[in-house]
Amino acid sequence: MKSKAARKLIPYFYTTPAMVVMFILVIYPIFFSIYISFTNMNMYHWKKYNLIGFDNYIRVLTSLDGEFYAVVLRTIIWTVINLVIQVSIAMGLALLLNIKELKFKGIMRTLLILPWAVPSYISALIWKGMFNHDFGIINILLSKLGLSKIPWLTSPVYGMAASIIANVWLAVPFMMIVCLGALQSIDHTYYEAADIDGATGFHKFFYITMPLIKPALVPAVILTSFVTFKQFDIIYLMTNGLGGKTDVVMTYAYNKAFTSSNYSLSSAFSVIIFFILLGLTILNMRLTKADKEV
Amino acid sequence: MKIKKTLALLLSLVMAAGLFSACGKSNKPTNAEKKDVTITVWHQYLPEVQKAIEDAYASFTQETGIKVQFVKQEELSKKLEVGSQSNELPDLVAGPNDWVGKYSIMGGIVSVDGLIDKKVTDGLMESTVKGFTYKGKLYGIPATFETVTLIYNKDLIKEAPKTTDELIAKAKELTKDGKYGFLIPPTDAYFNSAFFYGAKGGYLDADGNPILNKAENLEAAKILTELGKLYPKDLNHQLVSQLFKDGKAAMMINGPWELGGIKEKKINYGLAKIPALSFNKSDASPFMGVQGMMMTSAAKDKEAAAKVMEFFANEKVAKALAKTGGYMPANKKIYEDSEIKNNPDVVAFSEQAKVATAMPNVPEMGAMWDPISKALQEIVVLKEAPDKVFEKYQKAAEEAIKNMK
Amino acid sequence: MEKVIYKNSYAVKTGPKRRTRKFIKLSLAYCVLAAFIVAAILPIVWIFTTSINASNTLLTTSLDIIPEKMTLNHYKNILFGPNSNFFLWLKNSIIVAGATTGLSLMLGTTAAYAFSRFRFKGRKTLLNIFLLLNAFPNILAIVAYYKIITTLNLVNTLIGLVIVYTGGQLVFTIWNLKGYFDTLPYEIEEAALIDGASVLKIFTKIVLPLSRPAIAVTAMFSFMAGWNEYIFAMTFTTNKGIFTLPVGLWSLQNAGNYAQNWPLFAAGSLIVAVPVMIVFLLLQKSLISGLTLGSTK
Repeated sequence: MKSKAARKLIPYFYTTPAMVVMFILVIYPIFFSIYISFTNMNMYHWKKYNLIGFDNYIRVLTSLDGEFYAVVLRTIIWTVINLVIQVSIAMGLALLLNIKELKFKGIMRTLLILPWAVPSYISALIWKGMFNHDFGIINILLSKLGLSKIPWLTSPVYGMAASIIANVWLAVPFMMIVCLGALQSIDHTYYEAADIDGATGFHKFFYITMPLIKPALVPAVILTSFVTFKQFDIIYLMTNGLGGKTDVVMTYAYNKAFTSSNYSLSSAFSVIIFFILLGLTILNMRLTKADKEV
Repeated sequence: MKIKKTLALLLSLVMAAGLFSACGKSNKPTNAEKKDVTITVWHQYLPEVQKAIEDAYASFTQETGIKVQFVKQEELSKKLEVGSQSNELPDLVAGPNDWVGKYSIMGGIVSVDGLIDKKVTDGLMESTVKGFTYKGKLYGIPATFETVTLIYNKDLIKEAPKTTDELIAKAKELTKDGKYGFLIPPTDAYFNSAFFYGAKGGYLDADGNPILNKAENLEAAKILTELGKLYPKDLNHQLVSQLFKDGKAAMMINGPWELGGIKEKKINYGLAKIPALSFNKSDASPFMGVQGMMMTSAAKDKEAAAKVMEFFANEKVAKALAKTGGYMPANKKIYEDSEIKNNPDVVAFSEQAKVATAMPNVPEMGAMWDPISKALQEIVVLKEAPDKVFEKYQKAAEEAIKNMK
Repeated sequence: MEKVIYKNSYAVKTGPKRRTRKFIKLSLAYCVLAAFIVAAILPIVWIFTTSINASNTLLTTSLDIIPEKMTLNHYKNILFGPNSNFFLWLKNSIIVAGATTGLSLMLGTTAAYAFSRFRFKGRKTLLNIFLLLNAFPNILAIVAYYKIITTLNLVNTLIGLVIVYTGGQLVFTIWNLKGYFDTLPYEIEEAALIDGASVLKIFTKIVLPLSRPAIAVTAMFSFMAGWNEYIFAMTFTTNKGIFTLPVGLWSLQNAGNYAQNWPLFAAGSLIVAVPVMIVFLLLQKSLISGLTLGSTK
């Protein structure tokens, strides 16, 4: 029907509209930000700005005793802890919901994903209220159980813990659904074969389930790790950085540059955050060979 | 090809939308015909306050033919910022005076020197006019001012303390059985300003340099640390106001925006000046913010816009704002009005305003809020040594200001 | 049928001991799930409690779900109050979220189909680059987006928002749909191709209908993106007539100072969240089979 050459063009024809939109709305803002990060676009040069070289980058990287590095390190720890907890809980729930004999699956599943329907800024404010020392429901429950109250929002360690709990709460549903989808796509014959061989549940999970669902989880984990690394609402609204002690890169950049309308400095921040995240992800993909599985 | 057709349709939709948005912009005819001018004002008042303002402007439109359109905007400050890049702005904005320095530098608002009748500004409290004056030029017309003062529950404490020593003693005495003697959002730079400026320390000097490490601030820190020992943990604006409204707090420092809720809960409240500082016998001096109208760089018919601004300080508008929003008008004449004169709330807030410190309108203030609130967090909440904390955040503030440029 | 027989025979063979173990295992599963369900819905129950509380508060020392003084006034004020323009905001939100869904599906399905079915130069690289571009913190680039919107002359239009949201959703859309397309057996399409059907025909008549679950889920995601977003909506819309629901609800209770009406806020939050919850309920079957970010084939 069609010539070979024309057939070769079909994929490009199908991808072009999406590419154009991607180019305008995803790639252009990145290049624009890179450009702006080399200018002096701040409130004193708001309408007319010019190139000034690496000034903004030097500022970010040499600020007050190198506090930026501490913030980056904290953000990495925050992201790793969050992901480990999220994936374990999500996987655990998915495995439970996947038990054949279980009843009321549909209703339980729906109830478990409800947090997803709440916009994140609303979740942050709600959890802030719930973690309040004397009037939050969590400490009230703790003291009813005879435990002592926890200073959730005043101590940096607990502040971080509270933020992690809130973040896990709103992120688990997505991960759980991804896990469930992946679990259900596994062919049952694998397990039946393993049963005959007398494999334990433990063995089945690590030798059948994990390898088979890994490819499905990798993109979800990558997307979630980006969202977590760039998390702003939860930490800002719940702890407001607690004197800088719970700052992650986004809240730090927001306070350092965005509030004072120094757009070139905040662009430098976003470019640096972008490349840190890219570097970490590519490194991680290489190490775990996840990129081969796409 | 379906896709091509859809794309074409989409493109035409996009273009149509462009046309619509072009028509949607306020029409700005030449000066010759005043009849058809519509001046657009962006503001952030609550809907019911907006309505009162609009009603007050009805007579203005009748007299001058200038139509005024008030539009409530969320994130108004951010919109001014991005809008001034491409001049997508209304004619006027109503907002606080600490925008003056920042947005005049950014080119979002312009000076109204020579456009405003001197009689109008003469009829306003001097300090409020000063709030809108930056580098010797007038940038806005003040309508109201607001400050925080001591609000107390008469059922829990008969008389308000006069000095900080009394305040601390009373606060200690009344903090028991789930009730609190005195509350203030501990990390809020605006609410806590009374003690820093009363101690003759402060946040910024007149040239916009941070002065957090000024020795006097340590005295303010002492008072706040003492009071801070009595606060519940995780105290914030919301909790302060709620505890007071639930009758669980004897005293708090707060602003006129709280009165509506307090009355609703039928709390027997009183207002008093924030206690004077015992160590230097001077009045506590909280920040006073001024709200007013400013002209943007996009205003085409400046004369008409200036008229709208002038009327914003008019008695009719002032009364509307005082009645519906509990705002303190900047118009001096209003205080001769019996209705206002006999309103103890307005009188009390204006008494406090007499000893208040005008909120700096220099852009440097914008970079100060974060370091100050972090310093307060470490001193009042985490109980760290004030001298070290102030030194640390003095440096942080200096860097933040350097980072603005 | 075979499997069932196998299972049953297995159960018979294992006897009562195994059955009790199974029973214990099941009860444990129920307990764990119940605990997590409580954790998941507790905050939402609590928003509800706040929203019907007659006093303005987000905090309480009581554990009652129904507060002492109950009122439905906050809902009434939002829906029919004199300052509220609820139905206009709702309409705008539906338009924005709906158009975002339509546009991202249109762009996403075609691109995902190409990525799934054709082997062309740069396919893998492009897909990976798309994913990695999500690492950019676009909130800090708000001025760049504003530039795009002004250049396209779309300031203060719903289309401006739709375009920004579509851009944000596209990567997920392409990845998820591509993942699902990968799981569809190619044999049907091959047969159709031999029969002389065009690629477009195969795509619209075979692939799309077979992908209903994935399309439903992807659509839901795009819809949620447009439905919940507030930062861009607050900054880019200055015309009252095009406020979306989050912006409108926020404007009802925010006076730019410290006083905030929490019950009103809570009621508004629920009004925003409940439609999404209903969609969850309706789509819960497709939700699982249709979320296939990475293919397992």
